[in-house]
Amino acid sequence: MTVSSPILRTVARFALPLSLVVSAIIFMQGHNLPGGGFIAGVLGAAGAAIYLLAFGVERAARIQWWKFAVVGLCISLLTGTVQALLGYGFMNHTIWHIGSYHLPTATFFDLGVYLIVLGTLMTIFVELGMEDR
Amino acid sequence: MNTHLIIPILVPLFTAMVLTFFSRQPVLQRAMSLASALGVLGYVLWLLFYVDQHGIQTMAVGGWEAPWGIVFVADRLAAIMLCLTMGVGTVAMIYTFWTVTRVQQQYFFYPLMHVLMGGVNWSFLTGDLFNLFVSYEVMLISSYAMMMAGASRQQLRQTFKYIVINAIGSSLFVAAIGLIYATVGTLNMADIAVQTTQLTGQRAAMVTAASIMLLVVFSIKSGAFPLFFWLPDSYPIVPSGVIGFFAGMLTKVGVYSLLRVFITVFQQEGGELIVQILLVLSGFTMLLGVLGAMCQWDIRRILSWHIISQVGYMLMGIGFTGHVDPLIVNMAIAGTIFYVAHNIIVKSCLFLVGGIAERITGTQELKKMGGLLNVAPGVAGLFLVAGLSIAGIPPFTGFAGKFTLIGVGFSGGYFLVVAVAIITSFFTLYSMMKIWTYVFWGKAHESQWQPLSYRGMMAPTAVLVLATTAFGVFAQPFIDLASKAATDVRDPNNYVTAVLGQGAWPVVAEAKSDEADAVAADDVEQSPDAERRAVAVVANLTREAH
Amino acid sequence: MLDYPSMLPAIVFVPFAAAMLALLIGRYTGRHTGLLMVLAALTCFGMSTTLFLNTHQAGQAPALFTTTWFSVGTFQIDLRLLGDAFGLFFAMLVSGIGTLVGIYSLSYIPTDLPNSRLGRYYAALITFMGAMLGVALADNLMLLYVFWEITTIASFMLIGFWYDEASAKRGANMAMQVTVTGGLGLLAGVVLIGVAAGTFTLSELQQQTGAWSRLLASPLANIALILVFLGAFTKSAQAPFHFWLPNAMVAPTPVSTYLHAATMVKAGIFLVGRMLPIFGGTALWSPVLITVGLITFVLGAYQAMRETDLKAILARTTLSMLGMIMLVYGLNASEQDALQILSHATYKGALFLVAGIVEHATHTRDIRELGGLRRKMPITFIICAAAALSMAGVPPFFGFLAKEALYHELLHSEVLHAAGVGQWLVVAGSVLANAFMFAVSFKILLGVFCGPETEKGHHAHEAGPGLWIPPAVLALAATGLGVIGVTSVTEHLVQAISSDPHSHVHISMNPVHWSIGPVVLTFITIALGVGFYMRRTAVEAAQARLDVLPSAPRVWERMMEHIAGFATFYAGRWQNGSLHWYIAATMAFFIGVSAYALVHGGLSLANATVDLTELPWYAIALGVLTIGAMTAVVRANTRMGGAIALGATGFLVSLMFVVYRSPDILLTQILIETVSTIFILLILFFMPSFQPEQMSITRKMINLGISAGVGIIVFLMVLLSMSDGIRATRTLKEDYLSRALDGAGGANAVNVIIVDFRAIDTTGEICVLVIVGLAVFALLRSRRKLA
Repeated sequence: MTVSSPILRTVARFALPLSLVVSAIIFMQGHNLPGGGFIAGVLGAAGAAIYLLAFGVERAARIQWWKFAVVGLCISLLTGTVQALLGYGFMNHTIWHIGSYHLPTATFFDLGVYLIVLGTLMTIFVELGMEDR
Repeated sequence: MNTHLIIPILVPLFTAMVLTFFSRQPVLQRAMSLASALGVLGYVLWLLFYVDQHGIQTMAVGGWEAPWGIVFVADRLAAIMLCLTMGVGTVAMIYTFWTVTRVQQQYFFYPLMHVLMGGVNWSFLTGDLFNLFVSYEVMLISSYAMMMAGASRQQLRQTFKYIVINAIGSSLFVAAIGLIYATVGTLNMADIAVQTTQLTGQRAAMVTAASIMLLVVFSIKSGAFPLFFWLPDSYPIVPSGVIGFFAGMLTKVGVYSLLRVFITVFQQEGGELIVQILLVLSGFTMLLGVLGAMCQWDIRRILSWHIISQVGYMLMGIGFTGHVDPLIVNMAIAGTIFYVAHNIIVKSCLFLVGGIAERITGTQELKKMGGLLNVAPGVAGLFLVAGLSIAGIPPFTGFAGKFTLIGVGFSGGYFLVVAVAIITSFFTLYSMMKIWTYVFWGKAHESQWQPLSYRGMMAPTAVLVLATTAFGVFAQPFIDLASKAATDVRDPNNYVTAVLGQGAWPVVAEAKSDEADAVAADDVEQSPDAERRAVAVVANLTREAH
Repeated sequence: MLDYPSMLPAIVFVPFAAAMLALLIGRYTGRHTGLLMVLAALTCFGMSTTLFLNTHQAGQAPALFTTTWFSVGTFQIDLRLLGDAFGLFFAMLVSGIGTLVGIYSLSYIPTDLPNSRLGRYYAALITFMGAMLGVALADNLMLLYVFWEITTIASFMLIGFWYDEASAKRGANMAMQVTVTGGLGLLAGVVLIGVAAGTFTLSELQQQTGAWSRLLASPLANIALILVFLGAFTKSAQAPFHFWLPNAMVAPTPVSTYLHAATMVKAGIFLVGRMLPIFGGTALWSPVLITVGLITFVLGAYQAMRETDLKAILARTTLSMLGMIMLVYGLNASEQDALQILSHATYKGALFLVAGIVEHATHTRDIRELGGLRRKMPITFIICAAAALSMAGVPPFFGFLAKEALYHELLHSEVLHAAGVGQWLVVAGSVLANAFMFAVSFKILLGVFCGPETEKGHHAHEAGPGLWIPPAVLALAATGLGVIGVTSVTEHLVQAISSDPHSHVHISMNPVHWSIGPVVLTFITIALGVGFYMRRTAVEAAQARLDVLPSAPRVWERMMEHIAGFATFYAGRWQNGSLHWYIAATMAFFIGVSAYALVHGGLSLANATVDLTELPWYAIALGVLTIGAMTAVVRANTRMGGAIALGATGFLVSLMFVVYRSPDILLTQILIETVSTIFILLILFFMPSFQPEQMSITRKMINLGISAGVGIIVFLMVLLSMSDGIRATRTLKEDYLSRALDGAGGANAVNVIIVDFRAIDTTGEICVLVIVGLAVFALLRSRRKLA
């Protein structure tokens, strides 16, 4: 399914990288400012969706998007599990100090969320798009 | 700190995720599934023994203590339910090794099943109201997906109804949680119990009104009258094998939630209203469920309607907890727990046997079956035991469960609803014998039969048959366990102390129940327990009669 | 060797073990599995007899075995078996006739059936025997009920032995339904007794202890008794539940003999006998038993006259005799119960087995097609003669003694004296019934064995010893017990095994001891009976004219059909597949219970103290707009219009979060709305064009009412939960804010809640998301693959 409109293509060409960058920023600031993995994931997927509408789903269909989601869930669960195995208790997040930067392990959890949202939304887009034929 | 409590949730979820990568290696997938399920089964069995000996175990997720964080709580009831989930789940899983199609397996059949089991386990372990909602969602989403496995038109149509009705339930669930949080200021179940004990007046009334929404949600889930619409429509299209797990477990999650939430958690003044409503609903649920069953001509439909009527028995048991005498309340809960356990095992078993009959004859319609007693006497034997057990015929588990509930009901003076239960029991046997007459007796229509192997499917089914026989004949340890679990459920003291620490439970309520014991004891001094009870009951009845 | 108390569980256990064994080895041993039954039955008979002799001769207390099966709270179910004389008599009867039936079956059951089917037949028969032995020996009412139900199930399986035929399935199901009705009545009755008395132990209640007085003082006692009667009457086929028994005659003859003549139908009688010491003195006891017993007594004998099928005739006479024994219990004459049971079991068992032999030889049971077999089957004829004469009640057969004892009781019973005119009614009824029985006895004996030989009888020949020995033993007993009745042996025996061994029962075959009353009644009976027999065609014609009532089995079946019809009607309407109705009903229920809870709790708008005027104007405007957008969703005529309106609703709701200043949720909601609108539009792409439903105005109104109801209830609840005095005084908000940065290293408390405080909630929700992705993938891909 392709909506062949030159305007949309032009917009989409910019929208994809822009949405990815914005989503990355929103993701990183999530712990302290509005944002987080969920929103970032939705944003990323929305940008990609516009791109797909413009250029067709065939390109994206080559990627197995659901695997992003699965890997994401594994990351989120592992974040908790590793903490448990280290003796902190399940999902007992700690804060890593890398130089002056504080990295809560919760960020890995949030990364999983990001991947899941992205993967799932993209799966739905692509599969619905493929229905055409 | 009992980090291990996360195992029944985490391991199935991990297994599911890993299995998605092996969708084209059926043998490996089955082996890993089985290993994972057996591992968790082993763990929950250990947990049951551990909890039975060492009391309630809790785990604060992320190290955040209640009421800020989410706490997982394993008391005896939760542990029993976990064992049943994993037991029946494992059995159903082994059974599906013979029934699952290649396409189903390629499209995440086993991962979904693991998520489903994980979600069910989750709902039993959680000690937080909102987290309970989340576990429901996990459970529901995987059940939607499993129902559609195969993607036939009929499946999609019925699944849609199932989704819509459950979505209504989910919305009400969230709304109710919001209202309860606004009124009580906490979502932790133990904390709600503490906060609501002292509630009176309009705040108490508001909590009751908000929890009525939960009643609706759990009634939808458990298939109670008049909200069981989703059940008879959707179960006939669930893939064979996994239907055993659906039929056994899913409605019981609703029953478990009713027990947990309305007996352990909500303690406000006037909260008995809910239990009274449940008692009324139970009568209708039993009778209308079984009447629906007796007129069906499709084996799956008969069994599905029966789930409803048997949920009625459980609701009746919960309804009895409105009685003033703590002894009767305890027995009622114990009876309900025993009945739930019995029903999970036997209901799964019946659906699995039904699946074998479907496989041999290639149809679900009674009138097209027949003569299976000649062809597959073993299957007939499995059905007979399960059918008699479900009808409450001794010496199987159904009898001990039914007897306890009827006994408690008569002791408590609930004659009308017990009469309904007994009439229901008649029609239950009626439909079991109808299935027997049409499926196993009569002449075989062998020309339409498929030459599929079914012997492998008998082994997992036989495990459940053995269970209902063994638990029925050697009932005492299981009844004792149910009684102890019932005490945990009835008296929030243990639960609250385990979650919130020593001294968290207000002393007032404790004194109240002591008082009730004292009153009962005053009636007849120094007489043996049984006689004392009998005298008290007779005295009550005589008083009522005058 | 077992000691005496352990023999009791052994008696019950041996048959069940044998039944298991029969199931296992049946497919190899086939018809020889019957030997297992004979062996098991003989073992039980031996043990029962040993126990009986030991107790009787040594004058010891009855053997008792007890252990707890399970106890729940105040209820305790004991595996408690008591070897009292009456119980052991019953056990000996069951195992003794079991032995004979086993031997008979070996020759009777067709050998061309598959082995496994024969194995199952014997397994069911042996299971039945074990259950009956359990009923006989159980000293705990619940345990008795347990065995009681097992006999019902075994009977179902055995009646349905010829399960290829519709009549067998019908008979089996009807017997099952009727007896289960009673069985559940018994369960309720027994539990009520347990609740009222505080014990289920039969002997404790029978000894009229404290538990017994509590029971009788309870208002539950009469209800319990009626329920127990229901159990007994259905099992023993008393009017109006008598109709299942003739239909059960589709069972193989050994089964009919064993279950439906000699033992199972006596279980109800046995139960009443067990209850006599407990309830015998209550007001209900005699009137109910005498009425029901007498009606069954007369009705059975009367109907037997009309039947032409040999087994049907016997079934009707069985009904009659069961009614007679109920009558005896109604007279509190428990000292002669063993006499009546034994006398009936001997001759009726023999007659049924003879009927089987005749059918075996001639392939018919229709008495009109039979005749003159006397010469071809002399042994069978002699057996039948002895049994029939015992049934007719002529000296010197055992049946005569039983009938004399009955007449004696009828004339001298204190219970009946109190009834006045009623006494003569009972006496007249009994004489009439016995006269019919007399006529029927000769109808069978002469009709089958005398007169001209019929076509069917041409190829008849004498049966092998395997078939005639069992009835011969019974016939011998029927004769022998009568003949030695000239001494006092019979009298002593039947008294010792009765449920009331301490009262004297007066019977004798020696004319010197006969008293005038019963003898006169016997003469009237015989005279009437001869009359009936001689004018049997006239009697049958008269009966045909009198036959106006609908047949009882039809009534029962019609009742079941009506219930099923109602169920079909209700289930079809209720579960009609319409999602519309499902949602409406669910919501209506929600409105109902919520409104009830609000009213019950005394909550109304008056309790709401929220000041809505504090709301800023833009919040109110947003609210109004949202309602407008929602209306547009409902009123939309196209899918696209609906989707857009829905999207608008979503965005308006997310703007609400601006009012409440929560940017995170605002952002999330807006993004979600965007994505879901895109999804909806994508899906609409594949949907067929929208046909607006044509709804009647009433339906629209109902829908409007339901949605308004839900809205009002939820709105009211939200308002209330925000009101002072209801709203929570303590919340976790402040705690979360203060802990977010210190404890979790995040300034955004919302995000910290999501990924840390309540991370496990999020874990659940992301699982849901993953599954959604997998489900969509699986659904669409597998659909494409299948298409």
